[in-house]
Amino acid sequence: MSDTYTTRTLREIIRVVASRFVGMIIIVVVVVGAAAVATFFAPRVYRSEAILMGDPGQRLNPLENQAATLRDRLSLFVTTQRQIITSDYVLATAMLRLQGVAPPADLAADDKARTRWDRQVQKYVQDHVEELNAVRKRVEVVTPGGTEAAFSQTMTLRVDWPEERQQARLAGMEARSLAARRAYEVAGYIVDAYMARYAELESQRTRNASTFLLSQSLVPARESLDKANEDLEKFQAKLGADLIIVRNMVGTSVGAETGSARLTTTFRADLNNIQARLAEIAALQGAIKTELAKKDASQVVAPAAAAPLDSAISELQLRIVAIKLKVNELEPRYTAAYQELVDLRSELAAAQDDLRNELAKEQTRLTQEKETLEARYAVLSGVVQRDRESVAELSAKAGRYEQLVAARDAAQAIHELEQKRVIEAATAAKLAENPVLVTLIEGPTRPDAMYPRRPIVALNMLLALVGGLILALVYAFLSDHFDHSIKSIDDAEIALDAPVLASVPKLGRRIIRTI
Amino acid sequence: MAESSQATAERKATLNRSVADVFRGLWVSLFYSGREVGKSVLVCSAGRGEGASTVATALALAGGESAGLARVALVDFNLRDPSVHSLLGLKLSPGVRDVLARDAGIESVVQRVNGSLDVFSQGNGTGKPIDILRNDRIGPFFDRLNELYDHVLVDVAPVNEYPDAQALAGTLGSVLLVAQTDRTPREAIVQARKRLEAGGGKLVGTVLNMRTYPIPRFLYHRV
Repeated sequence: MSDTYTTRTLREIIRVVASRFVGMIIIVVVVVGAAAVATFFAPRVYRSEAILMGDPGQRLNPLENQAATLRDRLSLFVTTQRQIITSDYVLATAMLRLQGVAPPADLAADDKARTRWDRQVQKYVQDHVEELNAVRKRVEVVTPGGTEAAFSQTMTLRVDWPEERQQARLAGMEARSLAARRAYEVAGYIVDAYMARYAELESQRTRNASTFLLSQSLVPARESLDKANEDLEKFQAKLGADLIIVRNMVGTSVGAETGSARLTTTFRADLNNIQARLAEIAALQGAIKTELAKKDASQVVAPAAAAPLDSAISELQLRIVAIKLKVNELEPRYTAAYQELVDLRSELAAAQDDLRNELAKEQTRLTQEKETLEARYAVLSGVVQRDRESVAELSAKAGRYEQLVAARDAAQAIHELEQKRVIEAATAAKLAENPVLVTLIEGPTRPDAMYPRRPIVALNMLLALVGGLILALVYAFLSDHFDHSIKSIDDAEIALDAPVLASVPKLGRRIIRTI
Repeated sequence: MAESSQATAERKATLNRSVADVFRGLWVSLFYSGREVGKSVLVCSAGRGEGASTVATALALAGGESAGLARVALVDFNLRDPSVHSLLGLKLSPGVRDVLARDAGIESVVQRVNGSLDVFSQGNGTGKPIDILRNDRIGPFFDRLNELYDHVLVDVAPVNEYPDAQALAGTLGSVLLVAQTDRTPREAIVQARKRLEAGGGKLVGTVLNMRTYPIPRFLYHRV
């Protein structure tokens, strides 16, 4: 097979199409025929149009502040209007009028009449669900951007009213003019009903806003805020000089301890330190005392704990050890009368005396330190004792203070919220007093009974042809895909892995003739 | 065999000219192209009505012409739906069943079509296919045919429907599978080959029958 891949693919496509050509033709013909029949038997439709305009561009309602940009506001406006126009209420009102039931004239003023009318409309909606849905399909709100576009100030209301079937059979021209009149009337009634409904909804909004303003919920909020402030000031006056401490306590409270309590804890730690030091000093003094009590100066040794305290003592000790070493070295070699040995001995005795003196000095120093510490200890424990009494009192005061501040803050938040709502309601009320005016630019057009809207036959046929072709191709390729029969030599060889020795063409007649 | 031609064809059977070349070519590629094909070839299809009998008969006719001095035998072993005799305008009986059932001589049942093609019809008989298939005389019968003829073609019932082809595949060795274009599924021929190979046969090739060319001629030459 010297064919290129593309050629083979093309050949495969042509084969699929060619082998199911008849089926495809049938499908196309059926689809086009069905479209033609549907087009031919479609009822005549009459269109009436009314153009409405509203200007929501300047409107900025804080209650609707999600729609901040102009585009959003317009979209919201158009979408809302579309909803109102196709609402059950508006359509039912229009249909009621078509049947000759007009709403009472003084709806706005007379509440009773309004309730009665509303009930009548509701009943109609409940009883004619199917009919209203059919009417809704005939009503369309179009903006210049297209059916679903919402970025516009103008809206076109379209009513496409079809000719009634049974009437068409009865009388040709009469049915046509009736349908044309219906289209015109319905469009007019829907516009009227919509305008009335829109005005009503807007005035309802005004009423809601002013009701909120009248409820005066801001005043109690203001009163409670003033009261909270007053309480706080009074308490502050009562606290007087303690105010700063209390504020600090409230501000710096860490865990369960307030400022003052923490101070007490620090003092306690100091007291404990002093006590420990005093005990140390007592022990040291005892040791030094025993050393000093010795008669012989040469027996005096510095207690281990005293050495690091004073550098003089440690130096002396080092000297004594050095002299002793030297004496020990000389003693075996020389007699006691040897001059150097005598000198060393006297030096050692002098050093020992010095050490004794130093220790005595140290003892005095320690006594002094002890006295100082004892004095400080007394002062501190006095302070701690006094504090303990005042701390309880202070923390009670701080708790109260905190409560009052919290109450004041809460009252303030409520007040601010109410203030905001009042501002919003006031704006809404102001806006509602001056609602977006929807004006009818062009009244409903009167369709001509002679010229109903006809479908574009050529376009429909073309669409049906394209659709039929697509359907036929789908059929051809799907059925080929699910047809597992052998279609070519390749198929057989791939399936069997054995050569195809011959392919016998299909003949219209017998292969073997007998004469 | 000239002396034993007690049943000669009453009418002369010929191949349609437009396909005669195809079958001559098939004969050549089957027997004269160096393939390992034995003297006898089993011709069968996967399913019913796919043209195995017609292909076998047409192949035998083409072989009979082109073989020249070689002698060709066509055996109708289709126990379910014998049709070779009617294709060639011969008689159903006597035939293979007579040989196997009554041990009749081969010479007594042969029907001559032309100078080099002898046909063995199905023959009359009510024996059940299973009894015939397990008959001990099958082996000697084919041995005798192999001695007498240069090429033996055997038509048999569809392999996917009856066990006959599978049973004979081992005896005959080579198998030619006939498949009908646009009808026989790929899966069916794969299954047929598995069955034949399970029976001990060897698939030597395929014949695509009833081939159609959906692409119009004027288009076919352009793409």
